[in-house]
Amino acid sequence: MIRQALLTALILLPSAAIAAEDKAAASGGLPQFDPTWFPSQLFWLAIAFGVMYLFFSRKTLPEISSVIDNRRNHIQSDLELADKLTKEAESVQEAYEGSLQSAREEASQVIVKTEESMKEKAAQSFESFRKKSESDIQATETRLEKAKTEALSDMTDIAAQVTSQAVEKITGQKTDEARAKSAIDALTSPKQKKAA
Amino acid sequence: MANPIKQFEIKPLIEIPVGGLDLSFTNSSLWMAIAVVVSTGLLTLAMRKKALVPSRGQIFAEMMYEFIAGMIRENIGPKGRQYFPLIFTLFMVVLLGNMLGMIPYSFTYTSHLSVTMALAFMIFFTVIIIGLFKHGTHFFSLFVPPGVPMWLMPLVLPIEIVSFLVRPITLSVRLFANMIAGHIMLKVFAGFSAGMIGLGIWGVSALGPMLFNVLLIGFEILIAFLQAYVFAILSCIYLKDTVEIDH
Repeated sequence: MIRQALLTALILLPSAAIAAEDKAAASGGLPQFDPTWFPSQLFWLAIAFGVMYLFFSRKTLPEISSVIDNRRNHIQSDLELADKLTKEAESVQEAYEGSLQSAREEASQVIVKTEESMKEKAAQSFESFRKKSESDIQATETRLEKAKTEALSDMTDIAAQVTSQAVEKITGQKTDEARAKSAIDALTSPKQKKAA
Repeated sequence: MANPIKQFEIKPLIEIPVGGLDLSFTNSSLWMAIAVVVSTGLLTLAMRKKALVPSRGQIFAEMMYEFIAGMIRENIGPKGRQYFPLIFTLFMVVLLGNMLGMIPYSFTYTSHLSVTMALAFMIFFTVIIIGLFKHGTHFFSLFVPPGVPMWLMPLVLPIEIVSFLVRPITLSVRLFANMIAGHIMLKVFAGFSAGMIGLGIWGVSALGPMLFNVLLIGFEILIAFLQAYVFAILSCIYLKDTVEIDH
């Protein structure tokens, strides 16, 4: 009900106004072609246009352009900063990787060096041990040889003594020990030569 | 039935006779003043914070700026920056005139040929004066399109000159005719509704024209924006001749 009344009012109000205007309506062509108001139209248009032009060109447009430029610069500088930081991070990573690489190389070098020195040491100690044992063997052998010859020469003496005593006992004759010895020497010398 | 022409009538509000001229402040002048206040006021209000991250109003103001800046960049080129305030003001004057005219009982100053013609001739004379100042007599080579054989010149030259001279007429009449036609149509359909009610015809038959008017108003708002855009872009294209002549 209320809505319908409102609608009626909404429709009737303009029509009433139009009707009122209609009564006052003057006959004639379009008001646009009535030159009476041309000066006023042009004058006020010029003023309105001038005010708007001045206001926009002095205030609004520089303001908007400065805001836009400001934003663009801000974004640009942010991007540049980000770029710089990325590069910095990259260089830090590179340095880190480089130091890691060099540390790795150093470590492997140390390992190789240590291995080599250990090997050398082992070889050295082995060599010295070998030399020592060789010289020990040599010394023992010479001592043995010496003892052998000594023993052999003692044997000759003992043999000469034994022979001479045996001859004395058996024959009852005095024997020359020196002669016996030379006889034994003559007997053993070819043998000895062979052994040497 | 209501006279659909009545809405275009100018009524003086304050009489200001200057010499032999009548410079009265009229209803047309009032809506021009309203346009000034609304456009400058809204843009100032929108830009008052100058925020790095814009508010809705600021986005709108920046959109208008970028819209006109893009229009100038595309149609005039980088040298067109000098015309930026001019085109921006022109666009705002026409847009506000068209849009404020959509308010019932308001006055559409862009529906007056004297207004649209003043704006068009302003552009026309700007083109001629700056063009002659910058290019000298070379400016007239505008009428000699490149690549036209010599024997065609007697035909092409008059056509080019006429099409140049007719620019302010077409520019102003296009806007004026669009505005006046739209507003007359709105008024006529509103008059149908009122007339049918006056005759005691209710219901769908009376609501029909009104509903059609609702659609028409949406369409007229589109036209209001479109005509402001067309006016501004054609002004850009004309002003291009002052910056560079292709040949």
